[in-house]
Amino acid sequence: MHSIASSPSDTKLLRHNAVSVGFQQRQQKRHTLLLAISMLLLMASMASLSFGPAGWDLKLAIAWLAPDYWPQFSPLQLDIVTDIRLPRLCLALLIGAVLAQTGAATQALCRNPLADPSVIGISSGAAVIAVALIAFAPHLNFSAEAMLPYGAFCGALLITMLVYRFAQSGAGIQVTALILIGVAINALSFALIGLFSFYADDSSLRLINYWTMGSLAGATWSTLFSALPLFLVCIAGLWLKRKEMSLLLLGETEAEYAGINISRLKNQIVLFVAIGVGAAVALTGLIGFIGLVVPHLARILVGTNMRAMMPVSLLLGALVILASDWVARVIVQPAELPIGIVTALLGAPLFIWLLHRQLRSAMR
Amino acid sequence: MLQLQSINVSRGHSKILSNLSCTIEPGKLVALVGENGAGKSTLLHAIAGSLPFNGKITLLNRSLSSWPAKTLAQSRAVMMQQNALNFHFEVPEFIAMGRFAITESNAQKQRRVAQLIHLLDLQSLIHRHTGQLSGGQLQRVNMARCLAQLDAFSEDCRNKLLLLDEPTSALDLRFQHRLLQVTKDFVQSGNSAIVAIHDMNLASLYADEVMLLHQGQLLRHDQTQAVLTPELLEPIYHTRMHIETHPILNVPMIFSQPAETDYEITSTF
Repeated sequence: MHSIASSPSDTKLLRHNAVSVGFQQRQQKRHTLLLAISMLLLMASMASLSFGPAGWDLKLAIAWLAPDYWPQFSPLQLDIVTDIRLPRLCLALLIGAVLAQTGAATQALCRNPLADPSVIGISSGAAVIAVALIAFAPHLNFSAEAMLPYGAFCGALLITMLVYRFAQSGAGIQVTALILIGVAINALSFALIGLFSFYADDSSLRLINYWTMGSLAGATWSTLFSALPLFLVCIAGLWLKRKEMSLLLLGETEAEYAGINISRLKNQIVLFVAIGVGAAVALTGLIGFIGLVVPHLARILVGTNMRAMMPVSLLLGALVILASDWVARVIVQPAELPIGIVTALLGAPLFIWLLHRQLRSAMR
Repeated sequence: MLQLQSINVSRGHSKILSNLSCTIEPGKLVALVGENGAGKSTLLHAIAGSLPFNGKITLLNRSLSSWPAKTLAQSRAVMMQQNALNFHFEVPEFIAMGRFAITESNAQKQRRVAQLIHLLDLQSLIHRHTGQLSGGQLQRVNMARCLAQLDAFSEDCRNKLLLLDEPTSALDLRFQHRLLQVTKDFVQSGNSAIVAIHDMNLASLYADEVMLLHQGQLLRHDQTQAVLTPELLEPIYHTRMHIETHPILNVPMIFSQPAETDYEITSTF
């Protein structure tokens, strides 16, 4: 009708061959990075197997792999690797991956880079139930150990739903509300943990005390296998949702427009986060700030897109936990520090800096 | 292809849309025009499915609420006015995220994204992330994402619906034309677009039909030239208007005139 409609159109450009807009380069860069982190992870794993109070020899890890060629190590030393250091290494890798993934997922759920299960109170919610189980089990004559992951999962689920409900306002999730609710829940949780410790006997008390600061020292094959299904469900579940979570970062309505069933996705994320955090807290206690710092580092390295960021964050999480555990083991040896102290010493200042940076950019 | 039957939307006690019915045919670019608060955005949100309403909306003879999320995403895309994001994506990635509902190879996706980057002239922005873009650049990038979602300009892109809420509000002159021309080209292969817009002259240049909203009611829905008349527009905007013909394109152009001052500036309130 209008002459303008028949004028030469820019859409003719569509017939030209598409010129690269950098997808390949980005992918290559990502692969190189993943390879580099994997190499570091491998080296850190070898170091973790080789170092400990019972022996400090880098050759030990290699000798454990091929004992016939390295006969200078005693069977005892090799058994220490198999029964103590190896389960601890596996636990560290799994915990690192789970904490990083649940952190990234919580951030997507709240659409805020400062959300993290330990900051907004999910971890301490899980801890309350777990501590209750530890403290009351001797009185009621049952063994708490097998129930810990599932009890902690219930606590985590409850708190996640609670926090999510309370922080929601008409305009979405408010970051200040989220963090203040986290402060309140953390305070309440530690009060309850204190209260429960009152009823605990001596051996439970020492366990609780050590465990509220986080530690990988309790790793055994049996505890590891009892929680393994939960870890795998959490990691796989969140992994499969990484495309959806990327879109969720744009906002719930935008994600819905793009074809996502938003309420189902949110429920799934809440469930997988609670499973992962519950199992992690049950096995290692409270290890803070990994879920906050690691996804942040991953975003700096490969950008916000969860498809690219999740694999990096997963490996990086394992690496950071392994490194922190190593620090915790060597710094006061032959004793060892709770790993939660190491991650909090590094993570808390970083968190303050990130918070400051976000508030400053929000004011602009 | 899109049918609205007696749509009512209320917020609290106030009615935002009352008893609105209309039909939109494929191949039409419909401009949605009306004063501030006339209900343009509300109507778009209702059609987009992100706002509860009374009444019935059918897209391709199928009630809007019965569409599965992914199928709907491939048939209608929505570009609303922007709200601030906490997370920023690189521009090509951001556009590629529109392809969520489409199953395809990576190579195909990258090719489509590259095409749209050229179409909206975004080449200079491919290394930026969305936090580094101006409002107008972000509008273009969002438009590209919407077109990616609908698989626009592919061989069999038919019967799709594009909803745009003031897509040109932050664009410079060149890209006002570019964006609407792209929309027009998209529509002409058998799709539809509803575009809320304040600029009457852009509406006159590009729209096939105009829906004129006033205080939540559909005052008129007709051919562009039949709606864009001083008789209809002057009472709505309380502004004097004159119609002239575009010197080259032979379409009506609207010239508004500064109002007689009907307010007073006083130092004491």
